[in-house]
Amino acid sequence: MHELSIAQEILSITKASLPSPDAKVISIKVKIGHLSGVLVDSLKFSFEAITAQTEFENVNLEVIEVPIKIRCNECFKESILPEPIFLCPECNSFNVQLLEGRELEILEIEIEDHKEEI
Amino acid sequence: MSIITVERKVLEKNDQIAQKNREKFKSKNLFVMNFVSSPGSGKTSIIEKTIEHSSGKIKIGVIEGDVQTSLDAERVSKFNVPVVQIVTNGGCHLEANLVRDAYQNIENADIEVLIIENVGNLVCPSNYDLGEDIKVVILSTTEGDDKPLKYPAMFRNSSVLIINKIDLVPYVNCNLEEMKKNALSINPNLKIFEISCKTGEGLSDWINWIKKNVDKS
Ligand SMILES: [Zn+2]
Repeated sequence: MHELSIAQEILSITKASLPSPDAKVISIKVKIGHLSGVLVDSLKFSFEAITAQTEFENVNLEVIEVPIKIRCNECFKESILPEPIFLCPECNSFNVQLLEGRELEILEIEIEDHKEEI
Repeated sequence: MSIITVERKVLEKNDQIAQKNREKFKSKNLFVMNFVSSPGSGKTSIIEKTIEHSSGKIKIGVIEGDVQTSLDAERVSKFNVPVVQIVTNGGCHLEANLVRDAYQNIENADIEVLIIENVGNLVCPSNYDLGEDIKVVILSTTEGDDKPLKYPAMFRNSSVLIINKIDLVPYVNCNLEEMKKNALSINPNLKIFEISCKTGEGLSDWINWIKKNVDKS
């Protein structure tokens, strides 16, 4: 269950990125590659569990899933692989390089605007 | 509403410590291997045999990662090599900071190779760089030959595959060729060793390969 420690890292980076400690977070956008070894459902579940009854309860963890993308070193075509079998679908070469799919990143945080006292 | 752009890696803290570990290991001319596998594939036996068969040729130190007990470290310390235990208390993988702290205990030991035995698990350790030179993934012939396809991230990120317990091939339902083919479809650059800790088959090739890497580092 490393999704739990990953959820904790997401929360701690979020906290460190806020303009002020009392900023109200609405959502956190993360990018998770299909080859990152992170199960999205499990990550969401872990995030809910660690934020329950805190000021981060109900924060929406928005996950953008990134498929495995390769470039073939033989025919130079780029392809999306539905399965992590590293075979170029264009020319059947195994000589391919991974372009995308290992991502595990926090992209942005959406917060409520500070209500100015009038 | 306003948007704060973050664009940071979730595990950046771990990656930074891993990079520091790597620099430290480099300054000590260490060749560092991170051993990963499912539980029961014989990681500790391979470490024992590696130490036994390389005695007098390669100076090895070991960091043992375990979920709970220190049994593995006790097994390895019988061979009179520097060994440190990390107990993760339920944690399913080692992290770079744990390795940094453990290494301090053997920092002054006279070694050329550091073997880090990760926790038995083929999923999580693939995300956590420890500062190693290479990951060595271990499969045994008692596991399914489709295992590489089920854990692609680990096989993609490893440089070496050791297939253990090849003495059992006649008795178990394992298609060795299929296992290798599956592993190479995930990672065509994998260097594969077939080993039996019981009969000693394949061990000398493996030891020679380590020796070659020690001489390079
Ligand atoms: Zn191609």
